[in-house]
Amino acid sequence: MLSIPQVTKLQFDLSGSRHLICVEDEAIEIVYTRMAELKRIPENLQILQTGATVISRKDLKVEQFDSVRNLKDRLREILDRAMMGMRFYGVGSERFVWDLNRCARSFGLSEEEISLETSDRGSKNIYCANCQTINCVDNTDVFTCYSCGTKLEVLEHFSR
Amino acid sequence: MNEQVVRVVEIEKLTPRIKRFRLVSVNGKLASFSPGSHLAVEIPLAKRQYNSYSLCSSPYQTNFYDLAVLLSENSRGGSEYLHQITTGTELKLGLPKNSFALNSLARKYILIAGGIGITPLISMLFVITRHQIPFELHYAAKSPTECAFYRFLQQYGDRVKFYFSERGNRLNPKQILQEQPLGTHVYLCVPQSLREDCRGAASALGYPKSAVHRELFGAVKTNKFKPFTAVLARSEQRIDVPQDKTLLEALEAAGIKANYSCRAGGCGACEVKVIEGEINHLDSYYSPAEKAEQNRILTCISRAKSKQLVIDL
Amino acid sequence: MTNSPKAIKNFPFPFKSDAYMYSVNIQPVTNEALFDVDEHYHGEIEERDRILQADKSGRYFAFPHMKDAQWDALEIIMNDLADYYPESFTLTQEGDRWTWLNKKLNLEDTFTFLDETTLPYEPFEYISRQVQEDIILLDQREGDLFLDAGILTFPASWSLDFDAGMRFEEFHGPVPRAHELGVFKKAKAFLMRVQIGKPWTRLNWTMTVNRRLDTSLETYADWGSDRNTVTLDNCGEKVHLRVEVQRFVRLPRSNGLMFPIHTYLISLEELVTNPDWTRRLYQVLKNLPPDLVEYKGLSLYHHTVITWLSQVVDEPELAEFHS
Repeated sequence: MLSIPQVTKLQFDLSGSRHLICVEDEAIEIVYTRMAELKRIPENLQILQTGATVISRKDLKVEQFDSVRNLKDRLREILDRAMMGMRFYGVGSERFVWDLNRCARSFGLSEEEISLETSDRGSKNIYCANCQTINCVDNTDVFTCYSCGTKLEVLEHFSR
Repeated sequence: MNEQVVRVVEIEKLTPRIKRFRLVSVNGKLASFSPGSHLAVEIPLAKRQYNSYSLCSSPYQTNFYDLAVLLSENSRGGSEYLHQITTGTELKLGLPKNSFALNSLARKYILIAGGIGITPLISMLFVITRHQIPFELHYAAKSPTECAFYRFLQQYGDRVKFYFSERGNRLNPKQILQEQPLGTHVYLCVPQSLREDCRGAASALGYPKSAVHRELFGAVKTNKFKPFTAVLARSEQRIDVPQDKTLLEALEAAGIKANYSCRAGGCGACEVKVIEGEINHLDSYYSPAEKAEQNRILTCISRAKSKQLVIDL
Repeated sequence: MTNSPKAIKNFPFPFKSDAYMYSVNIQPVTNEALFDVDEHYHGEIEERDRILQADKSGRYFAFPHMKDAQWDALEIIMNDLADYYPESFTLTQEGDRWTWLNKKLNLEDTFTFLDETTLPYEPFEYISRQVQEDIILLDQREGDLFLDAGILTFPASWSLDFDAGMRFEEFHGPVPRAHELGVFKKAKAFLMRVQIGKPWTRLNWTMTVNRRLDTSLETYADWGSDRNTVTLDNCGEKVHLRVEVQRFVRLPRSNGLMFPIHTYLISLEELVTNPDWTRRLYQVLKNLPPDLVEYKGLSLYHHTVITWLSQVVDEPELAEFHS
């Protein structure tokens, strides 16, 4: 269905002049994998990550944060001063990736300037049509809304 | 196309070759328009024709339109006609159309004008300043006397920069476009060579394509084109398209009802299927892949490479 | 609330052939009001007000960049109502000072055009509270259309809050088949070229149990189970054909699009007073592919309606078909 976001493979856009990667925990392995597929590591690269690096690399500096909230504060600080030419990349759970995507879009980045990849692990936000609460749940077809108690069947329609 | 009838109530000579016409409605209300819009003006010469001009008044102004017209040397007579009319003259206009609209989410606008290309950008200024969004206007002209709206633009202070070729001031696209904040949108209404320079600089700095907008009309000179014949598949009618006319104009002259909107190869409204013949795509509407398919043409701008083009009309 | 004979006569019956399939099926609107003020005006305005009081944040929104689009919508709607229903609505414009008189709601306001502090609500909310149509406003940018403002109190199974900010193809996501057919791509390309002063219209349909306009996802708990209550005995009274008259209007100053949706309900009892409609609806429902039956939410009572209609249609072989 076309309403599901087509998050595919992280694509480095080398037409950009700066590259900012936000990555959730172990998903940094995905970043390493994608980089290994390139001929060379892009210049002007900046990486923000939640949690501790699983495999640290000497050639890459990674700024680490103890929460998504703190990472987002730093992201806002960077985007507020960033210049045209920046490309934004989000890698992690669906929830993480779309949260940061919204943040990046609010600074005027267009879809053309953003690339995302979701790791299959992790959780989704499910919107309860009955009470408008956003529930954070693991992949599932049916669950009960934690706010109003309505039993929800999960439909595959994605909201921004 | 007699969608609006207007009367000229004021004519101002902005430069030796550019006149501004203020138009009010004769038969009711003027249609509102968005910044960057153009409209067709009927030129009532022996051979009736339509010229497109950008609106350069405020979109919030409901009582009048302003158009600025450059007296063009290799014109079809339209600008000469407009330059000799007096106040009180009635004109027939189409409804406003826009193929150069402002992106409503931009965090900053950079407007770049060359000569008469200033006109659509003037209407944008009214909107940008009302919404208090940061902007810069860079305006290249020959000299202050050849620079339309020179006095009007003084109110914007150092947000407007002039480049007068007579004084050797040159507009440097890279310098303008570098170090602009995220969410900047660039609007170009400049001659083709400068447009290519601006697009090249934007691309080198990493601007995405969707952040660079350009107005197209007036971009294509028709004098270097070859004539061809359009064959209408349904009626088997043969229509000669001379070198100085577009396929759309030739169809209109032959009394064939043809769709169109921007008349500049930007909107796709005049698309016609091509059954046979090789197309010379001059539009900015189709993707390279679509152009390669060679099965559709925008009649307002594109032509034939082959001597003949069989179209589905 | 039922329909008068006049309302039944004017009902926008949507089927032009016996087999229904998605298409862009779009027509120009000429010399016709964009907004319909009918006998249900007062009831529906009150219903809208009640829904907005209960849940405004889910039913109304306008993003900050839609300010010019809001005024565009207000200007078009006021002019349309004043032109087509002069006995009920008057717009007096003296420069920027506008006076709006709505005799039906006994309301008169003088305000300054483009100055939203002079109106009791923001412009789009102010005027949309005075029409029966649900309205969405689309912003046109990046070669796409975005759902960036709307009022939605009478939706057919969707949620404005959920769809806020979506691209054109995204908010049409749940519609089956149409994507594969490329319908939305073509429709979008078409809509992006809708011109100032040249509006278009199309019809859409579904069915609703009980005369209920608010079948939003938000209130699903209130109406979803009604679909279990349809029997051959109550079918004619309970089941309604629900038709949306949609309009597509270019917003001149903002270059956005306005998309008003007027929802009409007619009970099967009322509908079968017209034998042509009865026959047509019977054929359409019989031919409706299973995925569309499901998408339109008819699964639970589709068969009952067909049986009921077969008893009304005066074609002798039909009784046999369902025996």
